[in-house]
Formats: sequence, C-alpha cells, structure tokens
Amino acid sequence: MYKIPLLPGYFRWIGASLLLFTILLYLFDSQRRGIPFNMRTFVLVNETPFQETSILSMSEVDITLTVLLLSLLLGLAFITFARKKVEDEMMNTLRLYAWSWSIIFIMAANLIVTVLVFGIPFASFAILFPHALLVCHLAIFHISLRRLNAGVSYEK
Amino acid sequence: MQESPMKNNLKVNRIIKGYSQEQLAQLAGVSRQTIHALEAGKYVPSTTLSLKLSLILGQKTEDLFELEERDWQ
Repeated sequence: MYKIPLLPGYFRWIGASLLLFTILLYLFDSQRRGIPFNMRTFVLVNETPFQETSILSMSEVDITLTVLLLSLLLGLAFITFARKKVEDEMMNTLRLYAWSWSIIFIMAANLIVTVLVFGIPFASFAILFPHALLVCHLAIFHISLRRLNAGVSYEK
Repeated sequence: MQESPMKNNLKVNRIIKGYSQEQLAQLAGVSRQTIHALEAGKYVPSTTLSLKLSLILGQKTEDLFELEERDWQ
C-alpha cells in the first residue's frame, strides 16, 4: 500500500566501501596523533576554541572529524536503505519491526546518556546517535530475517 | 517475529498443486523465504497476498488460513 523509498541494490557495496574508507581514515588519523587537516570551506557556524567565531562565511577548519562522521553515516545509510534482491511485504514488515525497536533502544540509550554522562564524553555519545540508530536497525533487521529463514533449504 | 502465527494449510495445498516454494513465490511475486515463513507459521500475510495465494492454489482463503482460539485473545 505504502511504498518505502529505497536505493538500488548496488548502494550496499558503495556503503561497504565508505565504511572501509572510514576505518582506514580513522587508523591513518590515529597514526598522525591528531594533527589537524585544515581546509578552507563555507561554514554556517564555526566556534572552534582559540579561533575567531565565523557565521555564514568562508573559514579555515579541521575537516578530519567531519569526513569521518559523514563517511560513516553515509556508509551505514547506504547499506540500510539499499534494496534487497526481492522486496516484498515480509521485508517491509521486518523493516518496520526493526525501525520500531531500534528507535526504542536509541531513545533508552539517549535517556541514560543524557542523565548519566556529562562533559566531553556526552558530546562524543551524542554525535554518534544517528550512526547507532542505523547500526541497531541493521542488527535487528538481519537477526529477524535470519530467524525467519531458519531451516530454509532448497526444495525442488 | 509474530507472537501467535495463524494456522494455515499452505504447504499441503502447494504440494497437491505440485508447486515448489520457488515456483509459488514467483507466481505470488514474493521471495521464497516469505513462502517458507508462511508455511512455518512464522509470518501472517496481508489480505492481498492471502487472496493471491488462494487464487494460485485454487482454494478459498478460509480453507488456506484458519483462525484458532488464541487468535481471538
């Protein structure tokens, strides 16, 4: 009845490549010991410590974290929204089930983190919530699919 | 996923008709996994899929799917 917007199947591989790129970039960045990779770019707001505040202007910023978070989010999103080989009503039901539970889990995690985590670790947790939502959805979706498919064997 | 799956006679009627799970899945426009989940009672189909299956298997929908006492609870 309602069509869920999905990406073509090959986006799964683009997503996996982006995840691999994220891991490699993270390892490379760890080796550099936090040396900033500055780039002049347009910013909505830039309030980096020890720098002049910029609003709606060109500014010199460290883009390492931006690239890491963006490639991770896009990679996970591409895998999550890529079309399966056969998309039918059971897949849609599974998607809805996985989305519902992942939102409940992330809401619970968000509540715990908001109440119990303070300072810089809170910011670290907070920026990863969208990524955690996608990981949670992928895990629940594939575990449910595996359970439903348990015992499927080729039948002539 | 379904806590109280509906009882169905899908497998018996499919075998009577001589269809494999793959063939029935292709005719109904779903995956073989969906047919397996239906036969195993792990998934309850939509009205559209139930009607498609009843047409393909030449049976009334109520002969393919049966309500049980627990379905009323």
